[in-house]
Amino acid sequence: MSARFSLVKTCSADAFDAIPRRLTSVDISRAVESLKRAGYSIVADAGRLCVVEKDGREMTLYSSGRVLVKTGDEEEARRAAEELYACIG
Amino acid sequence: MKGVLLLSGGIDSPVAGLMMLDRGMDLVLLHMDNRPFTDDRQMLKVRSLADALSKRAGKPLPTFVAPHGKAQARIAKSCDRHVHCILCRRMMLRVAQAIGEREGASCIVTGESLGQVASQTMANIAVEEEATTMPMLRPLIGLDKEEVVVRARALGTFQVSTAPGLCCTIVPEKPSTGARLSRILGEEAKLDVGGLVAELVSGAVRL
Repeated sequence: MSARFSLVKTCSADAFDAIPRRLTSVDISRAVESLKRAGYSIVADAGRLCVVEKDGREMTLYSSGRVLVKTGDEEEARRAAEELYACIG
Repeated sequence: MKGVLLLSGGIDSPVAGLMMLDRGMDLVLLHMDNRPFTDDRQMLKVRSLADALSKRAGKPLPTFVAPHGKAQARIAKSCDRHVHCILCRRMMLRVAQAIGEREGASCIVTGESLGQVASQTMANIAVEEEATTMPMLRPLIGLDKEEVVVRARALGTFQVSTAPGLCCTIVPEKPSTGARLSRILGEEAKLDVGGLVAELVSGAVRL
């Protein structure tokens, strides 16, 4: 259980969505720079969302603050989302 | 008579291919690879669906995969998010025409069904179609989803198409359902459309 986000299993894939509990807005270009400095690889920067990878795990960060983590493991998804949120502040 | 079938990992496009094969049409298959805005499972699905269609055709059907993710990222970065799906479809059709012409096809076959999703309203279909000069065949256009499902089950593709897999992750929350061509052309002016098409066609690989 995270105070910052809810974790939801996607209905059709091995992936989890981290949904911020409070309305938020993420500046993707600033987030990309922060994530680069924190050692994430930038797979794609699409302006209103970006796809990043770390430790073999791909994640999609949306400007709404939602993070899609491509894994079927709930605990791994939670850790990955927490780490990503910590990097973007 | 040869057509280029836009083959996704979903239920509809394999059925569209089946219907045209059963009318005696030869097919070239084209998958627009959406990674990283989907997962790797889509490629497994496409291989299985291509195998099923090849079996039905009685010969291996040439299957090409174009790196569409690059175009998706540039569309999202440069253009109005509400018309993203229309710009995406127009890009697909241009790549399908280029690969189809190279492979000797004279039409594009899609699994579109009227009103099923935002890109398949009458207004959006008309705007999308303007991107290609190749005739378009939509054998499912008047079918209900359940009718398509029945045909997919008979073809043996339903289980593959509905296996777990990540849907497109770059779809906007509120896609336009009634785009006007002038607006779309304005959005495309923000892109190097010719360069993107050339990049996707040259980057396409045969499975």
